[in-house]
Amino acid sequence: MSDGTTGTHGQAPAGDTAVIRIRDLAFRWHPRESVVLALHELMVERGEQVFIEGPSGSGKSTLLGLLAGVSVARQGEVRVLDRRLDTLGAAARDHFRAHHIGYIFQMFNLIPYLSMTDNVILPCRFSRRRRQRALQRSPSLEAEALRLLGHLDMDEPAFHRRPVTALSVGQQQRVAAARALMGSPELLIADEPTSALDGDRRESFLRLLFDECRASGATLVFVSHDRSLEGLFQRTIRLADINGAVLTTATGG
Amino acid sequence: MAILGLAWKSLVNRRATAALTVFSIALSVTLLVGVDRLRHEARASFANTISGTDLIVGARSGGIQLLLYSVFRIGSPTNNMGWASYQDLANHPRVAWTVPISLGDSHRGYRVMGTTTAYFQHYRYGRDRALAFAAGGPFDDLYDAVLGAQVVRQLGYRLGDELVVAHGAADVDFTRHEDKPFRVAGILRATGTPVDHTVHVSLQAIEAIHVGWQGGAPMPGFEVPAERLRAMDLTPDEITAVLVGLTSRMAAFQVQRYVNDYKAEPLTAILPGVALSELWNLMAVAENALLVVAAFVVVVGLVGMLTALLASLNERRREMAILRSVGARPVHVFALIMGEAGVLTLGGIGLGLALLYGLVLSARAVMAQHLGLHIAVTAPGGGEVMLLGAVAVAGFVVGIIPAYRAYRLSLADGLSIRV
Ligand SMILES: Nc1ncnc2c1ncn2[C@@H]1O[C@H](COP(=O)(O)OP(=O)(O)OP(=O)(O)O)[C@@H](O)[C@H]1O
Ligand SMILES: [Mg+2]
Repeated sequence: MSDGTTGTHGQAPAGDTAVIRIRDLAFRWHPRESVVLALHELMVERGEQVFIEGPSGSGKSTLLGLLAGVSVARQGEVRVLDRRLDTLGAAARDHFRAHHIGYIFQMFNLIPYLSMTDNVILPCRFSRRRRQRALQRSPSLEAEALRLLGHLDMDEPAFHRRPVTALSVGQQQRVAAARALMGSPELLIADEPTSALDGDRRESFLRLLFDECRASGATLVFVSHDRSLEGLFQRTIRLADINGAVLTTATGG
Repeated sequence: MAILGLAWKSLVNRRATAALTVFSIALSVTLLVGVDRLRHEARASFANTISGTDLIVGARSGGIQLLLYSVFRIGSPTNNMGWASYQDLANHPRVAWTVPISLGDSHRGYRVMGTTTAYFQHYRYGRDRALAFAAGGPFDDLYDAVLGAQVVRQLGYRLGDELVVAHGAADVDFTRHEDKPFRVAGILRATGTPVDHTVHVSLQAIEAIHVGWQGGAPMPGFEVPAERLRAMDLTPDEITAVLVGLTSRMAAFQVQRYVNDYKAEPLTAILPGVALSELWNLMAVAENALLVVAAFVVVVGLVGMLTALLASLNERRREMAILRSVGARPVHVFALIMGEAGVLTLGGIGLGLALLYGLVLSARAVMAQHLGLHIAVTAPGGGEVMLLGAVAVAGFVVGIIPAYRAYRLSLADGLSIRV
């Protein structure tokens, strides 16, 4: 599995099955600052569950920002679902994210003033496409939210009456996973969503996430500096190895 | 729009601060609209201090001066008009009725006015309100007096009590008409006009108490006993002014010209409505100052909202990042904060109006009774709608500040969560 790193450097498979394809990327936060992320090539196939590992400051979150279309590459090519994000306008990138990407943060993923189901339904409020997809699976958005929550063992009635801030961190992360999966986006991006969980719960959370991704055919890009998780994934990419940028904070090289 | 639903839920979540903000805006709106309404009511009520009287005629003088002494009992006329001129005027074919008045004496700080019983019949104030008696009735006997409501409230007279009138405006001992006391025959209801501050007696009584006086003092040896006066002819030589009712409003200018061109003596006729609004305009500065102060209170209320929204932004950066991650655009973040400012402002305006109407309904009776100010319960008029619109616009403009800041923050933060 540590082989995965070399896999990204090998010859790319046919383009139509690639969900992510990055070429000759060089990203800097400010024009006058140095390059933080320099990737010759990075490919992720449809349906893959990829673990991107790297020490703190190696540019993991920066990469996810590029994939989600929040940051833009001025140099190189960032293709997600065969769309060139680096040439899209800001509004089009926001729409793209709404339609195709589910995002899970490290912690505190939920909007405090919304109920658990409202939090899960939230992506459908910004994307007609995801609303329609959710309604293809269930008769109503609420029903689909409850279905997903059920899959993640969050369907106990007691949870629904409680404000989301009263849920445990692990429970909040499962609600966040349900939200990311709502409306079946093609790409799920997770930025260290397990760092606040202990060992056992980390693994059970990941298994639930894998199952759901597999069921909906979503591709999962999971980022962490915690190497102990890599055994659970099909493939691991070591960012420090493929990142050509000289980082002052990065140790590898 | 979905984002407005979010704005609403976010406010409900922070309902304690939101309610306080709405309340402070509401209070300022109540004050602003209340001041504006009071201003209009006061103006209308002032313009109606005397109504139904088409002309006021007196010796030649400035219009406002004539108004001041004939209606407000302020100051004294420099000249009187002759009884013959009054007769001529009363006989003019366009004149329907006349009420002669004679001023000059006082009773413990209140002006004494000589008139005829036609006064109680024809005098109107407010929106065509007639004088009404709280007790007793018009003067009947030569030494009867009818008191205004304020005179009674301050001096505590009751029907049948005796009072002594003093010569001139100053109530000094030696100029009292001690030998001819009056009896309280009637007490008027409060009107909110100078009528409340007046002691009314008959013209003949004014004449009677001055028989044997010259140059403002009794002439020794010429005192006439009160009872003997009853037999004398007490038609006055002169009067102070006349309130005139015409057969038709249209005739006002014609009769006014007749009076102003009157040959036998120089006279002035004024249209009371015109003179009253001229007088009011002299006080417009104070009135506007009040409105400006109220407007500043609204600004203070809106700054409170600005503070509350700006203070909440930093702790909400995480929320903005989450919204961005599910596809919200920075303009959505802008709209979210604008939506909150809008709900707070409109909520404040709505609650403010409710408070105002509650206040008007509960204070109405008291205001009418004690101030004679009759405040109508009507829907907000054009001017008020403009004021409320201005508050709403100001609220939205103030909302732009935190909304723009949230917009900038969410652009800079993107998906990185900062606390
Ligand atoms: N918004 C930003 N503006 C400027 N520089 C940034 C910004 N975000 C990150 N950086 C810089 O880019 C580099 C990579 O940061 P990044 O957040 O991608 O690291 P990371 O791998 O996610 O680290 P961690 O594991 O600690 O989350 C760092 O040097 C960081 O200081
Ligand atoms: Mg990071």
